Amino acid sequence: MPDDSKLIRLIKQGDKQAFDTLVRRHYPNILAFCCRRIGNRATAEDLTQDVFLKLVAAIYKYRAVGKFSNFLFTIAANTCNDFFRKKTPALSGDDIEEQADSGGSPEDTLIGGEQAKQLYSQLRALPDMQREALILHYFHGLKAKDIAEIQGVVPATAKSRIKQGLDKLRKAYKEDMGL
Amino acid sequence: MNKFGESIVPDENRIEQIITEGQRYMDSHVPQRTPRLVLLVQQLRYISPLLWVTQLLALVLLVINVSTRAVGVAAAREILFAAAPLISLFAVPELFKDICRDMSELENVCKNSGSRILTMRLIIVGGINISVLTLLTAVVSGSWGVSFAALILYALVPFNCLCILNLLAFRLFRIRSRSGAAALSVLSAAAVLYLPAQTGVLAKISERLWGGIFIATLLILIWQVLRILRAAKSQGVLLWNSK
Repeated sequence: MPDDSKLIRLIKQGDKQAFDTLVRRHYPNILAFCCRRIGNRATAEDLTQDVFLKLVAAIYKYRAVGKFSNFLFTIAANTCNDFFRKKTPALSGDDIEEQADSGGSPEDTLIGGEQAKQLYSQLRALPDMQREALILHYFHGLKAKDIAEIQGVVPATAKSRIKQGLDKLRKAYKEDMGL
Repeated sequence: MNKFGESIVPDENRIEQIITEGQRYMDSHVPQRTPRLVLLVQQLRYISPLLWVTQLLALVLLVINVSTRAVGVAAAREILFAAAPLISLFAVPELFKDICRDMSELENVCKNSGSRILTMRLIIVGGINISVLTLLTAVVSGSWGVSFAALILYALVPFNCLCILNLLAFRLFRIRSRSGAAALSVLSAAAVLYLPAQTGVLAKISERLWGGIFIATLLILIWQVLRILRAAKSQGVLLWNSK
């Protein structure tokens, strides 16, 4: 199986099969990220499509600096942030909560029931950058160094975002549980 | 499957749709690279007339000096030492003219990458400057019968120094205007000329030491140029913002 850098080289040369392989390799991860970030499967699928179309447009100028997955996550994170910026009233925070309640959220399959709803609403209450850092770290297993690259900050800032996000989640969870 | 054991099953139809659309984009956007020679000629057409004027001026001044001054190695060195900053006066401003004219963002999104254009400009400006310096040294050497090798260092060292000073100052002060670029370049040239004129360093330093200074300045200049090229290669990173 060719690695990402080889696939990118082939795509730059016009190899369509290489693009097929690259999409199939990274699609589940990017979809999962968008689902967690947006909280709605249908919208996340649309955004994932945008991410890969942006990728194919940017790939000719892509230079292999760092991991390719970080590059892809950066596009995904920016696409999600753009979505929130342009968010239509039809998809407000309440709608997303309802969708989480109705089992549309991936976190339902993670923990299930009340705990999932609680975790999901607490996660959604966090500031954008902290939420993104937590999702990338705990759900996608990315290190602070990679998160820093995706968010365009120094690793110390990424670590601090993870820690602050986690502290807030803990505090909110304890308050909800009455501990 | 992630580390929490959760899996989000992707929809095969959506994947197919993305692949089809992506491949359609690939069909309609076949990247075509401009051949190096064509790009070189294209960039050559946009070289500022000021750069050509300074080369011509240096040549004229040199011819006047050679015909009016007394023959001697010291005089030949002084002439070349003074001519080199004039030749390279607009070299660095010419390299960064896109930034000085607020065109860098536009250039970076064009067909040829910013780093490729910068490389071409480096080749053109460097080529013109080095050729004219060699020509001047050859004229002095031929007219006065002084060894070419003994003279060329006295032209190359101030050339390197001025370029290093300009590159440093451009980045340090983040010059973004044409007048600022020209003023800075003139100031740097004055600084390069002033010190030797005041201290008589030309006569005091041996040829071997000049050789050492030349190698040191050349290495610093190469390092600076490589840094700039590396910064230009990072997409979207403005040269002035790079560390």
